Amino acid sequence: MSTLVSAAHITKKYQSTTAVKDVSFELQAGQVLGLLGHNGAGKSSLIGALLGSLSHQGEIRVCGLNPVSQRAQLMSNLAYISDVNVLPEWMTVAQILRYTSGVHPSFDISKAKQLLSSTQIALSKKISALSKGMKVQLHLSIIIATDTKVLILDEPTLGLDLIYRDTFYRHLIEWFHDGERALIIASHEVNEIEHLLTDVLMLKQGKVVLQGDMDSLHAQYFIVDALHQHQEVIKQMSPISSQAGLGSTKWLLKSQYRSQAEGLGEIINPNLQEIFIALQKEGV
Amino acid sequence: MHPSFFMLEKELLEHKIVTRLPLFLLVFGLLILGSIVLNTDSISNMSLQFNYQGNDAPDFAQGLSRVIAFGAGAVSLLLSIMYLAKTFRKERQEGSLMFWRSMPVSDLQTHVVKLGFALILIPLICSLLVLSAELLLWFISLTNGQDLISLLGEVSFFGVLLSWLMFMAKMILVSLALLPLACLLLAVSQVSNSPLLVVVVGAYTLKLVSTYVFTFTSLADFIRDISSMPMALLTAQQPLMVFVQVGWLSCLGAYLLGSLCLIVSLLLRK
Repeated sequence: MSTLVSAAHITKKYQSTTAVKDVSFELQAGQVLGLLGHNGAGKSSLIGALLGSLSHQGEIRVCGLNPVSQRAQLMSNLAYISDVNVLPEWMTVAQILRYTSGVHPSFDISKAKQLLSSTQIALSKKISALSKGMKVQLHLSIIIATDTKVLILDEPTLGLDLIYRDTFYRHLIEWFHDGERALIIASHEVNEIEHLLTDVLMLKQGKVVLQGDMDSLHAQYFIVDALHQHQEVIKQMSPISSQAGLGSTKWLLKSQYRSQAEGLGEIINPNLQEIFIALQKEGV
Repeated sequence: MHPSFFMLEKELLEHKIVTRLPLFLLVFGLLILGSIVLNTDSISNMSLQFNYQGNDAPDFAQGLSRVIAFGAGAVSLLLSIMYLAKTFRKERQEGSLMFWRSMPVSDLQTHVVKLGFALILIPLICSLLVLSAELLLWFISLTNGQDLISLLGEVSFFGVLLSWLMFMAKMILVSLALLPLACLLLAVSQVSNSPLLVVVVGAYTLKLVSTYVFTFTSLADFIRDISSMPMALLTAQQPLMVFVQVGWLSCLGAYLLGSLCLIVSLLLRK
């Protein structure tokens, strides 16, 4: 598998604030990276650096190209969708397709029209007249119709209803399996994207708090649902978080304590959201 | 087709006033000429009285051509300046900047296309206004024969083409004179929401400060010469003389400043 994205020691500072601190990762074709973190964790700054729109320290290569100095070349292989509409509202759908076909060497206008024909988006409609879900769908159709290798999504389904979310992810998966591609998804909706991810990069105040593939991640943590009487014993195991219930408490622990905890209660594999919340709350 | 063609087409779609204003003026002119043609009696009854000094009698047809050319030139200049002040600011304000930057188009190409649109395509569109107006006059002189000829003098097809070519030549010089200001507007419009105001106020402030605080009038002269050059070219009988009057040093200074503004604009776009 070829490396499509490599970021080494990325740091981004805004005057006295460090938005991203020494973040490094690699992404190969076939990988889907979940970029997780609460508001202000540094996700948008990292995405800005990957897109070449923010100056930064460290080195980034996307498809072997520098996002700042080789942006125009890179944009043939890199695309981005955010929660905010970036499509020009004054254009019609047909006009934006014509423009993209003129400036994007690998854009297939017939493929884009074919994708749109299965939706309610008419070519003659102005983009300003489309709903939020339709705009996201149109943007995704434009990207699918290009030979994009890396796609970055920043809260793409924020504000979309369930039907649009379903259609969006269906098209996304089809696009992903259509070639050697990599995907980066930044989202708060951890449960919604968990099934798509192969890797996770979790940020907190600009620093990496969790990084790795999904399998190793699940192997790193476990939950023990133990009766209150075991509280003192479990506290010795440096629990990351706890959630009190009726008669028992769920403790999130590191896997090194698994054998010690097995006799104390039921062992459960945590989902990504549980790990995410626990790590974001840790030390707060 | 080259991507620049699609980029220019997009600019035309986005800034519809560039085509609509000349078209409106043409239709307006047509209505006036139409009313003249329909009232041919009034032409034959019309009398003109000229007072002039010197040996050469004034040529009314040439005078009318000059008025048309000046009007079209002024419209072109106005549209170019309005466009240059608006184009980058609009992308930033409406939030489409990220979309345009997601296309495989370099910042330099974007700048070249925008400058080409303002300094070549807009004058070219306005030249069509001149050509249409002159052709109309010629057509009316053919159909309305002696009445109009007695009013305007001879109007020939060759004269129409010559007026159009003269206008084009003049507009090339106007665009050359406007180039440094165009680069300045592109740079300022990326950081300010009122680029024209910033440039005008900035220029006047510089003029006043250099003249009254530092008693250094050369800077004020330079700003006055360079800023008035496009309009001076439009009204000049011999446009090339305007460049001579401004002087090569001022022109060189303006182009160096323009190059610097272009570099700043490219850096701001990153």
